[in-house]
Amino acid sequence: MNLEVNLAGLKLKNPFMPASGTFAYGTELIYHTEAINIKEFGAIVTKGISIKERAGNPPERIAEVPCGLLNSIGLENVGIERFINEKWPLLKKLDIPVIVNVFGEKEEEFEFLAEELDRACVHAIELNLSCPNVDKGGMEFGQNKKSAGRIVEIVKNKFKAGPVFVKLAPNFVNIIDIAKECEKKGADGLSLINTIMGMAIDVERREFVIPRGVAGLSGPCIHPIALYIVYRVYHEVKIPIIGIGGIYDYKSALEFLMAGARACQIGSMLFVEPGIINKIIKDTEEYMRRHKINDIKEIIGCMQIRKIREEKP
Amino acid sequence: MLSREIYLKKIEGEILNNIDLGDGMFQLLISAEEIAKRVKPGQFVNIKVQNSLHPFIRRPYSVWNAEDDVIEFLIKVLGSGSRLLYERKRGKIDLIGPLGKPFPDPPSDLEIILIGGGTGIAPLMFYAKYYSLSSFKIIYGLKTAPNEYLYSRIQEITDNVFICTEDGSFGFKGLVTDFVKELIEDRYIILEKSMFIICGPLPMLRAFKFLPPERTYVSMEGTMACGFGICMGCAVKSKSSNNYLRTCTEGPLFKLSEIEI
Ligand SMILES: Cc1cc2nc3c(=O)[nH]c(=O)nc-3n(C[C@H](O)[C@H](O)[C@H](O)COP(=O)(O)OP(=O)(O)OC[C@H]3O[C@@H](n4cnc5c(N)ncnc54)[C@H](O)[C@@H]3O)c2cc1C
Ligand SMILES: Cc1cc2nc3c(=O)[nH]c(=O)nc-3n(C[C@H](O)[C@H](O)[C@H](O)COP(=O)(O)O)c2cc1C
Ligand code: FES
Repeated sequence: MNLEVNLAGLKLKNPFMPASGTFAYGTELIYHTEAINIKEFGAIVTKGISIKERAGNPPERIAEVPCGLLNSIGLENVGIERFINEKWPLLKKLDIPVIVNVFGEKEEEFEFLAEELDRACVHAIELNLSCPNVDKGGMEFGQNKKSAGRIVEIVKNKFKAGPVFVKLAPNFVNIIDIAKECEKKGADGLSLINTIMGMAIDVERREFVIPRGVAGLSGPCIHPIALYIVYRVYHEVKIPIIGIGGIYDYKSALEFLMAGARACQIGSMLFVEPGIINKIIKDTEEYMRRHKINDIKEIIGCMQIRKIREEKP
Repeated sequence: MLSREIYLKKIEGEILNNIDLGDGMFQLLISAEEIAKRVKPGQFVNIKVQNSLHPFIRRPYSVWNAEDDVIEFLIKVLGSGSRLLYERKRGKIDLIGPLGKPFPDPPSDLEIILIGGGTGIAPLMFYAKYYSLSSFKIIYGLKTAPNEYLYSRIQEITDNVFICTEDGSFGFKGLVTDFVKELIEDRYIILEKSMFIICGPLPMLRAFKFLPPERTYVSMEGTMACGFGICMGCAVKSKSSNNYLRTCTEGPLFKLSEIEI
């Protein structure tokens, strides 16, 4: 049985990996093997890294909503220098492709991050052009076709160590247009989707539950939206797609693959079930056995052309 | 890297009993050997209140007591999660724990003053019992008189306990803060020779900022998405730097001098 996929040149032993920001730097849980076997993951995606250390937003940063949650972490992270010195050496040793999620407030910041990560030879970059939880940067770039394309160009120009994925969200934008523009400018793949802007109000206090008001919605409640976006974008671009949004079991993960995603990321559900990725891998194998599927590629994009597809480059 | 004191394996516990203690509180007894063997006072367990996608996140509860293979919780019905737990009288229950940093080892040269509000008394009682503390006091604040069973449980640990009720139906009438101030004025608590551990709602913790910050610990209860250090959701502002600390892994107990509350 073969679960391997080729994600724009990254060879993954299976399509399942954690989503950025929901698995910290990827190093925290290495020794907690009683619950998580990281070595089985198809890849690791780090939390969003910026040039300077960021403290993040003041609490409350989390609000529960039906079948999901709102978060306003505000990209708390140690900054690129400490990431490369303290986290990367350990990550590198795991022998799993590592995708580093990056975030910048200006074009030059993305450029600098790309240079640094190229020098460190990380395996891939995921550009966060869709974070709703910061005042500057992030989403600004992903909201606009031109600026998204420009960031892709700049990063592609500096980062040669591996593929560059662009992460987008469906916040007041035509995500298909932006996806196509990113492809045109050289993006190697798309990560769809980031959290969707949302809000919660405490009616007793007449205050926002999360002080900033706006926050990012994630969890099973966004799964159908994310699935539809992956399905739609799949028909419009040739580059591979990583499906993200509300995965909670192997079925909700396989739905993404069937809709056209080459791989998928599991986010919020990791908070509830730290061992969920290992379980999804195991359950997928069982599913393939049950359906006599020898190669996971047989189901990727099967909702489109119901026969075995050639993998896209 | 996370401390080895946290244990992330999903554990299937068995609810043994669920008893109403009045005033919206209940006692939940769960058989869960792996947790009972490991847990130290101050640690919590992340409970999946029911096997469904809603409520989505787990709820953290401090361990009230652990004996043999049984763990106990003292829970107040507040919202959706605790209400669902209140209704669960028997059956399997999905747990992760123990999580969080245990309370500090008791110092030998200070009297330990344990101050609890509501269900905040739970980890304090476990602490006193676990270390068989000798030089300590419990000061407990509630809205109204504690249920007889709860009171007897406290008395099993010590009779050096002072109860304050907001409605005056039992013990001292008023807020715990006022009562503690009186005890200090009367030199019944010697400020210079005491260490304080306070567990209760945030407004109560804030009201204790007059205590010596280096020898006063407060237990924080911000919303936790994961409970084991990967979401960065449970932030509390550090005093010494511009950064935030994680309640679930660097806490839940913090020195008053460490954090801004
Ligand atoms: C480390 C830690 C240990 C804890 N130990 C205990 C314990 O031993 N016993 C116990 O009963 N609870 C404890 N809690 C609180 C518990 O985890 C839940 O937050 C609480 O039961 C409310 O959950 P809910 O689903 O019922 O309410 P929700 O549906 O989440 O919220 C309902 C309402 O209650 C309010 N609320 C939520 N949490 C609190 C809170 N902690 N205090 C006051 N109001 C709140 C919300 O703002 C909301 O308005 C602990 C929390 C932490 C972080
Ligand atoms: C607490 C939290 C932090 C996140 N941080 C980041 C981040 O730093 N960078 C990023 O690109 N996405 C971030 N995300 C978005 C997730 O990677 C993912 O796209 C989103 O949560 C949807 O997936 P899910 O429903 O499986 O959680 C974060 C999500 C959560 C819940
Ligand atoms: S609750 Fe997730 S880091 Fe503390």
